[in-house]
Amino acid sequence: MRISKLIVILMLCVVVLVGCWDKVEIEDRIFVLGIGIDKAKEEEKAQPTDRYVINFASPIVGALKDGGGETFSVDKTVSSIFTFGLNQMYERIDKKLSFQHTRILIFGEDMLKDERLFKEVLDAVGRSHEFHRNMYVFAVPGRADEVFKVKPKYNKLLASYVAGIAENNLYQSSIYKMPAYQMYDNLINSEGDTIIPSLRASKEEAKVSGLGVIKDYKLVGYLNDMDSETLNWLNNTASGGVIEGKYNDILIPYKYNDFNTNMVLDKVDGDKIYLTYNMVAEGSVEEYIWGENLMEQALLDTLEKNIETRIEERGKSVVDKFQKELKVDLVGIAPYLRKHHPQVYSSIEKDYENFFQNNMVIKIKAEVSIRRVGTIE
Amino acid sequence: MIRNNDNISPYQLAMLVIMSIIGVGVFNIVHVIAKFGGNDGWIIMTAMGIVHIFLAFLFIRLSCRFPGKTFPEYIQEILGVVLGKILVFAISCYILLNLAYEVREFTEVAKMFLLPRTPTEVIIFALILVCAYVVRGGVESVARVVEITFPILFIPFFLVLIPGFPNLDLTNLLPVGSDIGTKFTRMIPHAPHAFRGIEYILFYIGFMKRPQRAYKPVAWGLIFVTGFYTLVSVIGIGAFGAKSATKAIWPLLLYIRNINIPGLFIERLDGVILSIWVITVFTTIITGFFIVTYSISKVINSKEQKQFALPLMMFIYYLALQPAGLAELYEWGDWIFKYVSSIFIYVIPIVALLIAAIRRLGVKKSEDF
Amino acid sequence: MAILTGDTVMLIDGTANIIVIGTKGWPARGISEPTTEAVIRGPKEGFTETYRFNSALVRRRIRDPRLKLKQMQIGRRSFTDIGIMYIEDIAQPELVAEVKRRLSTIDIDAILDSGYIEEFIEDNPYSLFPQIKATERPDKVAAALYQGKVAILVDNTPFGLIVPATFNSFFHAAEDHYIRWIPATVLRMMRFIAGTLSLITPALYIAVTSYHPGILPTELVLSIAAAREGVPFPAVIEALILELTFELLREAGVRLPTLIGGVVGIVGGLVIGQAAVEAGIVSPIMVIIVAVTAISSFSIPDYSFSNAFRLFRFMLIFSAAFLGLYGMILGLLLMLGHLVRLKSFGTPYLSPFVSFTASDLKDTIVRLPMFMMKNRPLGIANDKVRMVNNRHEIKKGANIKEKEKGEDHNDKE
Repeated sequence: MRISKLIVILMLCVVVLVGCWDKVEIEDRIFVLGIGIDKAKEEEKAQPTDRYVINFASPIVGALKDGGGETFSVDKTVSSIFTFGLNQMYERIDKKLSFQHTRILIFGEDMLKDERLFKEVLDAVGRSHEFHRNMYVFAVPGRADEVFKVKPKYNKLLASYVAGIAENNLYQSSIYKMPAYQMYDNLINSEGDTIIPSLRASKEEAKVSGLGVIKDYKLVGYLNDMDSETLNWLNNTASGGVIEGKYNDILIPYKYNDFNTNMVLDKVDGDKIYLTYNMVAEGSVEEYIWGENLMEQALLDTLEKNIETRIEERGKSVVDKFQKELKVDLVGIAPYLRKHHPQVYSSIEKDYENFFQNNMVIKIKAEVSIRRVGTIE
Repeated sequence: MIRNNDNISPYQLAMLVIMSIIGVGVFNIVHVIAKFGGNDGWIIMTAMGIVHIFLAFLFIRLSCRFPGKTFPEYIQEILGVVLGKILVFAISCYILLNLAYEVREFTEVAKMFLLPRTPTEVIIFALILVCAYVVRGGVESVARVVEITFPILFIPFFLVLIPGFPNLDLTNLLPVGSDIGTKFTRMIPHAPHAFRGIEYILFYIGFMKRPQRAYKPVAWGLIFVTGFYTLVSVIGIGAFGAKSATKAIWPLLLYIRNINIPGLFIERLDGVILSIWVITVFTTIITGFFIVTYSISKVINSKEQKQFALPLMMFIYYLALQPAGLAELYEWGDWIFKYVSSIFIYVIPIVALLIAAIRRLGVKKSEDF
Repeated sequence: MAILTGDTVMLIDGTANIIVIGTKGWPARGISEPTTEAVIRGPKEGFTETYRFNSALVRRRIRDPRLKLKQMQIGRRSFTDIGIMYIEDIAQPELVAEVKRRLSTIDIDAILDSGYIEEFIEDNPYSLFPQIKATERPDKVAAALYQGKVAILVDNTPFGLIVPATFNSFFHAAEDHYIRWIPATVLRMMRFIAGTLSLITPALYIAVTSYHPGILPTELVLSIAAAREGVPFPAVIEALILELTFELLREAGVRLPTLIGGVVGIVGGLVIGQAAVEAGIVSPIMVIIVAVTAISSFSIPDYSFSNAFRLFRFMLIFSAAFLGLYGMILGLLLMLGHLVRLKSFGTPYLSPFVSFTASDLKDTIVRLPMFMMKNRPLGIANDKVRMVNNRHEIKKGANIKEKEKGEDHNDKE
């Protein structure tokens, strides 16, 4: 018994001394914080089979500490399969790539227009144990590598700069925040439809403007900033922003910090379905015109009415766009019907797309309240 | 000399029930529930939990007939020595298989998330070596480990679930109760998948001084398990919707990976949750492993169960390395849990109870409920 | 001869016998404050090397005729006095018998300190964890006796032994019961946290940095990576170098006279804190980790218990270096498996956390107010009820009442 114990202990020692298979010291890793994927152009291809151009943005750790020089580097690789591209990097760097901290995933326009490539990347990222799904997804009208040329002013790192913009949607609802897990949920539940906020790049800054609409894993169009905010209202994901109202030809910004939407099925009449979005906004007015008094209920009432009609108009136009132009339901009607009116939904499920375009009558009702008018009367 | 008393308290029994049922499947269970039960999976889960409480009561009824004796001992009275021994041996083999499954599933996950280049053998060996060490300590040791790991396991577990609540969308659970009949029939064959480990109760009651007092702890234990499964499936389905939850192999893990807590020392919680997972697997293995060593010692008529721990460990090790990969493992698992488990969980205890009743063996009526 | 050894001889006229009176006196250290278990609030007496003084110090705290002191001598050559103290109707007779039995089996030529006894009567001498509590404080011994434990006093040493000892009791300081219960509870929780920290911090650091950097915030990962840039060793070696240096310093500091001890601290601080970092041998973050570990390990009240934690810390460092977080958890589970198997004189080492009754948990990680702890801990004590008095009676009988507002008004009118 004693001998066997000794053998076990000796074996353990040997294993411990031989072991450490997975140990990679932290300074031997490169933390890829942002990934951009484009479809390879003919002149970029190293081999005829190459299909992807992948850009990585990763911080240069030494420069972050000392504060001098470039703080992040962008590496570019061309490959035929997405995972090949990640692994090809090992031929050029002396460290190990780590994707556990990846914060942004950027698709070029070409990628989103090619269903096959988009699906491949979706699967690779979704399957990977390294990528965290709380990273933000963006679409770039143009090519994703444009974004990687940006040198942000206020942040040392590109990826946290872009991720920071996405998180600003708390204050500005025209930014649509789309974490990867939500995109995956959308794609699974609607079988291929989602929206991806679009990112435009200039020399020193990137800008989130509007969003791209994906239908059946293909980009079908873009919405502008204002529509993007409206879509946030419709989907009940807005949490702050400014709406312009008008009173006596004076433009007045209405700042809301709470915006709630819920949907109601009014009636089913023959083959028509009547739906209403009820929107409730709460906020303040903090700009009028010098010398005028804003603390008057009558004035505020009129202003509220004005803003309400504005919201209703904008909502209606976006819903129309989805019904008539884009022909895809991304305004939350299908999930609503499925959850709350399963019978109605099951009766139209088969031909839903057609039904959505033609037989849905959608009304929008807004209720705006101005609670505060700032520090002067 | 003050000796070991080899008894377990009612509280320890409750802990044993919880820890032996909640095992490596915690993260996978939402997938199963969502797949077969859809968005009503949690209701079915609750219903099945209640059914299993009554099933466990039958186990206790059986044990009450033979106070002071454990299952491997009295089954030899019920079925005769030879048949009883064969049955006990068969159960031991089945539990070994079950444990090997647990070990392998865990290893695959650990290899994916934690240690991709470490040899599978080392991961398995390290785990079962620690398990064997605990099991050598006997029932007392197992019960105490389980007792202590319960708060260590569940308090962080619930704390980790909380920061993800903003991501929940409980409307995903709607519509409630549509088409529930077919969902039920689809789900029922998979009940042993969720509640495997419940057969261990049969063995552990025998270690109680008064098996009549087992009703309350067993009921509480199973209520906790049911509540836990229900909560987990509500969270899993609430966060993703039934469709997405089916798509993921470990929806709960995904749920936790989606959480991002800025400004905390630990930003991502998957490391925490995988460590917790090690503990759940560990407790499930020791509870089952002890039963195997104990049963084998009864089959061979040996007084001590200690010396069987190391040799039997090799069996687990060998069995665990058999499936080629996760896909094959899950296919095996489906087969084992659908058919083999059902026999051991439902058929054998009930048949044993019937035979005991017909042959009028043991104490007839338990005096206090 | 008798006179030369210090006895008095009495010669009485008319009798043939001489009476020798034992009046030996010898230089003894007076009762002074215990050095290893200092308190801010509470009695400042400590045991001395004289056995009789020690038993008297305990007796002063328990004026109960049922307090028994059974005396025996161990050591074939040294004949050292050993006293077994217990309160007859509280301590379990089996426990007392067991202690006596174990002591009577000791057959050695000399006993120089209670440490000798401890090793002979421990349940598992191979364990890293002490299963007997050694203390210098008579009030601690008295408190233990009131709980139904048994104390062993040994001549020539200021350290008495208390059995059974549990994991829980090693985290308790004497002061916990003398200060108010809320701060006492907070301090105890801090001690438990510190114990955990001293055990796992270096291992956790190694596991996280060299295996799973994904769980840390991005900014922290980058700053650790930046700090480690240029350090030639892997994190494990770095940790071992610093831990060993720290342990050496600690050992050197204990042995040296107090005056030079301070110098060691300065040299160590400079070597670890400045030079090693500037020379690039270790990273500043590792220094922080080791410092946190060191500070935490000092807050465990019991010296021999903190030694166990020190050794387990190294074991965990190795297992974390070998299998990352997984290895660390397995290491902890192994430690847990060891602890549950451990017993101290029949009491599970981890009680009252295992096989517990709710009332025993009142004096563990928390320290509830005295008036709530009505019973002695179960399992050890025979006579369970500690007090019948309760808070309401104290309030009810209060004679000094606050002046009520109504009365004030009456006075004015």
